[in-house]
Amino acid sequence: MRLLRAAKKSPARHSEDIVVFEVNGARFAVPAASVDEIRNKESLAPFPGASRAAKIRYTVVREDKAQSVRVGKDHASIAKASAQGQTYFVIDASAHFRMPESHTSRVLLLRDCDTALLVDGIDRMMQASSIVPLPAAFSGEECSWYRGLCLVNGIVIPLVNPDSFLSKAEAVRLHADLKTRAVMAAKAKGAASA
Amino acid sequence: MSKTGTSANREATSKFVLFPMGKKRFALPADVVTELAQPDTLQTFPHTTPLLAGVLVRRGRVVPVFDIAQILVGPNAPARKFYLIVTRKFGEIPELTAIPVSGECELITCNMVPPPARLPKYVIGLLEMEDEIIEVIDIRTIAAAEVV
Repeated sequence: MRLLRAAKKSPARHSEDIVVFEVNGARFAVPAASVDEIRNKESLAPFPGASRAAKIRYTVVREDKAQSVRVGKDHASIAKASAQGQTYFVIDASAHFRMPESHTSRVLLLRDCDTALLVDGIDRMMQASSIVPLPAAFSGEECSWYRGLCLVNGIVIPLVNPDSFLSKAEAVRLHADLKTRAVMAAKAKGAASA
Repeated sequence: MSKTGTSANREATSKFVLFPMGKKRFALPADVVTELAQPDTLQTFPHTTPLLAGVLVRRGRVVPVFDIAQILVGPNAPARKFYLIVTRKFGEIPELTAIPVSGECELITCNMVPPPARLPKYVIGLLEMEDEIIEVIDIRTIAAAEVV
């Protein structure tokens, strides 16, 4: 039953290079310009004190190219590595999006921030020719999670907002926490050896 | 849109779209209804907005699916077969929304009478049919209603 109304003008849309990744069978996109590097999980170090349900359970250090260092898995070596590279806090994408725990295998290091994203896998890199705003009907946390929706051959893929994973204030607090724990670990190690 | 104001505005004869939800029928003012659509592929992604079941892609547009069955008939809502595409307003901005319904819809012209106070706020009027009284739903107000 077609009742009435002429077709309305479609909302504004634009194209953008994206990296499509998977979490728990769901696909998400992140702007390719926001991704600095994609790695496997080998270089992840446990984030001290993080619970199993926490959104951040790992850190990863991106070594300076001039001083490639082996990143250990204890607090002292994290601190040492941090002094020689950039520490990223690894956000578990499944926890961030309130999904069940997934089988992660890849880490996306995001550009111009201290955030990396732990995902199940990379699906593809492509140009999304149609990106539309998130409909106004969405009113929950997704309004900050997503920058819009990519339409790829009729499939809707949410385009994540890279800034939503970790605020600058959270990053500062996490860095301070990491430093404190590293100092405490170094002191404990010194006391034990004495 | 206040309940009283809305009722007063619609006391004259108006057009309504009746839609079934299980054994009951409900109505929407026809001026918010755009079309009745065949079942389409529901696409989902993580979100935290209540009642939103996902989105459809209709003629290249992303249309959110707003499942009000849980509010209207509770957790034992029947399977939904069609989508009623309606226009919701967010401030001054209109947006299409798909409402899953359990059967075919009917366009009628009828007088709407004000609802008794005991009915939920999203009921903006009643249509008195021969053997049936049908609640007219305000799509904006029902979005704020809690699931039964």
